[in-house]
Formats: sequence, C-alpha cells, structure tokens
Amino acid sequence: MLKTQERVSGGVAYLDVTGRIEGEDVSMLKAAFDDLVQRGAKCIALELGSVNRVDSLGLGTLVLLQQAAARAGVALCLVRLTRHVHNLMIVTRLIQCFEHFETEEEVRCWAVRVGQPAHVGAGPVIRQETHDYSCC
Amino acid sequence: MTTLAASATVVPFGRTASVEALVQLAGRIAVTGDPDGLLSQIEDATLRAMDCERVTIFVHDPEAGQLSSRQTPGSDVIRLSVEDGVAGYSVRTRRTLNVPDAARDPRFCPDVDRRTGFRTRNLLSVPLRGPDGVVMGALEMVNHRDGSFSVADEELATALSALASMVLQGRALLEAQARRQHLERELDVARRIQRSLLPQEDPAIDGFDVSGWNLPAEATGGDFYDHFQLADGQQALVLADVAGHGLGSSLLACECRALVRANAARSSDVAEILARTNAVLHSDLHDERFVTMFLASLDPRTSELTYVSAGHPAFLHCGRNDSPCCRALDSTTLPLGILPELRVEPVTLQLGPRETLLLLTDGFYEWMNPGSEHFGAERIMDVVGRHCQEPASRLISELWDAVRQFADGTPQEDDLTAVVVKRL
Repeated sequence: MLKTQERVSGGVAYLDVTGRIEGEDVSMLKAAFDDLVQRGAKCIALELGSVNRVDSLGLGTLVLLQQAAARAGVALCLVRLTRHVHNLMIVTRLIQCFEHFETEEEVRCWAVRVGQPAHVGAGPVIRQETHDYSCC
Repeated sequence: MTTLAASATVVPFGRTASVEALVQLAGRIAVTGDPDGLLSQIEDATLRAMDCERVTIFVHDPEAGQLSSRQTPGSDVIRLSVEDGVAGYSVRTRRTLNVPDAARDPRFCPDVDRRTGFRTRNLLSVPLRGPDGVVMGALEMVNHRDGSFSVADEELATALSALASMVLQGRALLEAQARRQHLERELDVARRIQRSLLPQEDPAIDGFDVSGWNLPAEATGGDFYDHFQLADGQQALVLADVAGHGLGSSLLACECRALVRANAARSSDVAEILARTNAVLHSDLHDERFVTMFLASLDPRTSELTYVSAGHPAFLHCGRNDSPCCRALDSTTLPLGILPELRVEPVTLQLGPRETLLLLTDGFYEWMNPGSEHFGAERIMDVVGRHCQEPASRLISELWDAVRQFADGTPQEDDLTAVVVKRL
C-alpha cells in the first residue's frame, strides 16, 4: 500500500513516499503531487527511500510527474532511491529523465542552483544525456 | 366485485387466498430464472390482495434520477423523476406514503393521469428496500375499492414490498451475471486475437535455434514478441513490454506490433524502425504507460546481430557451462513513448558458436517469492548456465519451471515473455 506524507525542509516541498508505487496505487502519488503543485510548490522532492517496489506503471508515473512538473515550471527531483529502484532506472535508462540525490543537503544545493523556491524556474526537462550533478 | 388492472378484468378471490398465492410466489423466488415474470405475478396477486385497481412496481435508476415501471405487454413504460410524485417521495424519504385523496395532496403528480386518461383517487406507495438499505424502487397501489387504504393495508403492502424487493435483487444479480458473462466473452475474443498475433511457430533460420514464449498474467497482456523477414533478407526479432498488464496494455501491444511491422516494410534499419515507432507511440500515449523494446536484425550468413534496445536489456551467454560467462547488453535508448524523438544508435555484435542471446521481460526478474525476494538476474543466469546446451525451447521451459518453483505459490503478477536465440 502506497502512502505519502508532506513536509517542507530547506525551502523544498518533500513528498515522503512509502510502500509500493505500482498498479492503481499510482493515482495516489499523482494526486499528492498535483495537490502540491496546485498549492504553489515550486520545488518538489520525492523521497523514495522507503519505496520497496516500483512496477512499470510506477516508473511511467514518475516520468509523467517529471513531464507535468516541467510543464508547470516546477523543479522535481528524486531522493534516496533504493538499490532495486535505482537498478530499474538504470537498466531502462529512465534515470536520465530525473535529477536524483542521496541526501537532503544535495537537494538543498540543487534547489538553490535551479533558483527555487524564490521564483518559478523553468524546471528540469527530460534529456537523453546523463548528467552528473555533484553537489555544491 | 370486478376490478380493472391495466385494462384486464380480474376476479378477486379474497385476501386470505391472495396472500396464500403470494406465499407460493415467495417460494419460487430462489429458483426463478424469470424475475420479470415473477414481478408480473406479484403485481397481479397484490392487485387481488389489496383490492385495488392498479399496481405498479417502479424501479429506481439513481444515475438517471428516474423511476420506471417495467415494460409489460400491452402497457407503456411510465417514467417519473424521482423528485416527483408519491412514488418518488417514497424512494427519497424511504417511507410508506398513504394518500387518501390524491387530488388534495401536493405530492401527487397528475401528469401520468393526464397522459393516460386514468383517474387516480387514492394511492399507497411503499419503498422497496435492498439488504444494504438502498432503496431499489417503490410498490405503488392505486384506487382502493373502499375509498382509501387502511393501516392494515399498509402493513400487508410492506410485506408484499419485501417480496418484490427480493425479486428485484435476484433480477439485479442475474443482470450482473449476464454482463459479466458478456465481458468474459469479449475478453476471450480479445485474448484469442492477441494470441493469434504472436508467432504460431518458431522461425527456421539456418545455423540458429530460435524460440519464443509468452504467458500473460491476465487474459490479455502487454508483452509480445515477434519475428519476420526484413526486405534485405535478414530476420527481425522483437520483444516488447508495455507498462502494466491487462486489456489496456494489450491494446497498446497490438499497436506496437503493427507499427514495428509497418515501419519494417519501409526500412530494414532497426534504428529507423524503432525511432518511427516511438514517434507514433509518443503522440498516442498520454498517461503513465511507455514501452520497452528490444529490436534486432539477424543475418544468418554472417551471424551478425544488430540491435537497438529502448529500455530493455538483454543477456548474451557464451554457451559454455564449464566456465559460465554472461554479459548484459545494455539499453541503447529510452523506452518508447516518452520523448517525441529518440536518438538511436544500433549496436552490432557477432554471435559465436553456441552463444545464446536471452531476451526476457521483467515478469521473470521481478516475480517475488513469499519472502519478497525477486527471482532476479543472477538466478536467471544460473539457470541459463546449467541448461545452455539444451535447445532454445527447452531452455525457456527450464526458466519457467525455475521461476515458478522459486515463487512457491505466489501469484504471477506480470506478463512473462522470453525469446532465446542460439547459434548452433
């Protein structure tokens, strides 16, 4: 069962996700993300450290959120991917669609770099190249 | 005394006899295959028992906000808004309503009388309650011969309404069963069509042993594999996995297969086929679905395999079980349907004698056992190492046996598809 919880840290809106991002549960993640965007969040981090499974629809949902964020001028990143999820993203090459970090300090630096949350930035766009975002 | 019911003449035979008739009808509820016939008999017996001129069972359609009488021979269906009339009042308030003088009661709606020429003097309406408290409709009795319905009539009508409610519940169950059977038939047609789009036999390629296999998690699935000859004489091999499974994914799988074949008719270049397929999928996909695909062309004369992989890795095994060696063939580009344009660089490799190319969908890797462990790539490689000398179809059977044994009874949650290409 997927659960989400919101919190704000360092000017970044975090969605702490636990459980499995799969099947019909993906709609809960989309709803929580949409809610954050509608309430004006400009810099969102999906904390996935407690996500133990992501199926193909779950991966597709993360891509969908990334695309929606880019359209809305919202910066989105993933934080603390588990080994399994990280491997999935690597083998499918989807990792290159996302900004992803290991620590909240890295997220904070990234938020400053992309100009959030002070103003609406362009947000990340999906690229085909892999980038190395070393913090600070 | 003679009464009229829907223009038919009926002879009353006393309340006791009528109630006995109703009890007999009650005994038939559990075994009837004709609930509408039984409802007609309940209406008829109620007419006699209540000694009134007309009885109507109204069925509530909550979505339409409407009450409808049943279609019976020789009478038109009466449709009322649930906001109007005495029956509507009963359904809305879930209460019995006894109206001794219709003309003086503002809840009475005279529209039906105006349309039909019938004159309603008094009426009694009882809600038809389901077991979960939902009101399914109303039993309405019109024009008691003594001038109005009594309290005893209300009590009897409540008992009769319970009978009608049971029949309506039975009818709803039968309708649900019929809808389910219809859907199952449709699903079976979809399943057979999708199965027919999979290769009916393995390809015969000189110097190679190639086999494919597919088992959807549901009646239909989002995986498919395909093989066909390209215009330049090479053999095309395709394995794809649409995100998700079930009917929606299977429709996309059919589209993918058609797109690949159509684009392959225009070009034998696997990168071009993949890029064109992606462009159409990107314009068609608007939700979280995407497609991973491994597409290769095999030249039997040179044993060269040129492939592109849209988020779908593969494995190449050396074919020696004494010193197992296996390497992953990484994805060469993103899955299909995410970006409008894909930059695709094909990779060419030479298949050596006894080398085995293994293409699997994630249903194999991610099937979990009761301890929530994935089957995983290492176990797959172990099976391949132990059975790499076997024919391609046998190797797939061994993989299926191994993953099923590992799963130890956990249900198959994702589609399984495998293609094995062995150089002899």
